[in-house]
Amino acid sequence: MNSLENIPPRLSELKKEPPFRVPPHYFDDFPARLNHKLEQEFIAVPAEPRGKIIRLLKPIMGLAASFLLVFMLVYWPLQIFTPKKMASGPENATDLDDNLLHLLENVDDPTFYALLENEPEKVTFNDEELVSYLSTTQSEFEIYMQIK
Amino acid sequence: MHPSDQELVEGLKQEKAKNAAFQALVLKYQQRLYWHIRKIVLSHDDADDVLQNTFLKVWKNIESFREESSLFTWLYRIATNESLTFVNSQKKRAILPLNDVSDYLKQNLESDPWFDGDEIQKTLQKAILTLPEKQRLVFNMRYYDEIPYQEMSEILETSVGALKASYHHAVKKIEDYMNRQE
Repeated sequence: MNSLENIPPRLSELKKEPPFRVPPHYFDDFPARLNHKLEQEFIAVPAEPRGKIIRLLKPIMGLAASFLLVFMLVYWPLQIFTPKKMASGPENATDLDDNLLHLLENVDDPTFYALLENEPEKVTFNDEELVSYLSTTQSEFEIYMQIK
Repeated sequence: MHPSDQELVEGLKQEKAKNAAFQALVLKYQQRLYWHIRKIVLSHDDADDVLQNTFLKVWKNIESFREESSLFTWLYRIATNESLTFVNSQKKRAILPLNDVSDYLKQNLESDPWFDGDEIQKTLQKAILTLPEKQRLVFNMRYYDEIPYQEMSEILETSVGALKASYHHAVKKIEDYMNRQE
């Protein structure tokens, strides 16, 4: 307390009490006002765990929403506005269709209509045609063995 | 009869007893902290705001209080920091350009309806406002509250020697200022 004992004359003339007042009943009312402020500040505290989960999920939900939006804006209109032939199958299928079309174009009309008939014509062979066929594809020995 | 600091701390750290312990803490320390804050910010309205902020901070951070210092020291440190932060933020918000914090505080002193001193008291307050921030704090804590240097050292996190030197310089400057005003 040495410093306090050595107070210079001008300061020692003064009362050592701070020259301030407070409004009447200030300290009586303060705890209630503080309580009110505490309630306002921390009223949402019990809901924090739920809020925390939502806060954690927010970025993931945002990302998912972005993907959905991109899908809606790009993929879905493409599906709707592109021709079915292009959108429905792979490229090989298109090539196959083109080849078939090309073959059909080269076929003449009678053959084409004949192909469309349900039952093919019954083919008959005369003896000479049979002999000629057999003589070109099988030897005499093979024919003989089959007859036997 | 107020509960001891140890009882208050134990109560504040238990979920069930926290509310009651906090009420007891407010009743025990509201006046001491108020006057400490008031001497820094000078106006009653500002002191009221800072006192509320101080207790809100105590409520929020009581779990982090490690009892390395006394509860009183911890509360005083929070109150001091809140007061200085408040004064600096108000200076930034001021409509009229202010040279430094003491200009804002001088305005507070002149306009505060709850100032209760005579002209000599007002001169002393103006003399205190001429001091640098640290000296102002040390002077108020030593001259008005008579807080021991060791305790002040823990609150302000400054060595006892430096505090003694600050107080000595502060008293000399105040005395000079008051002599010049005669």
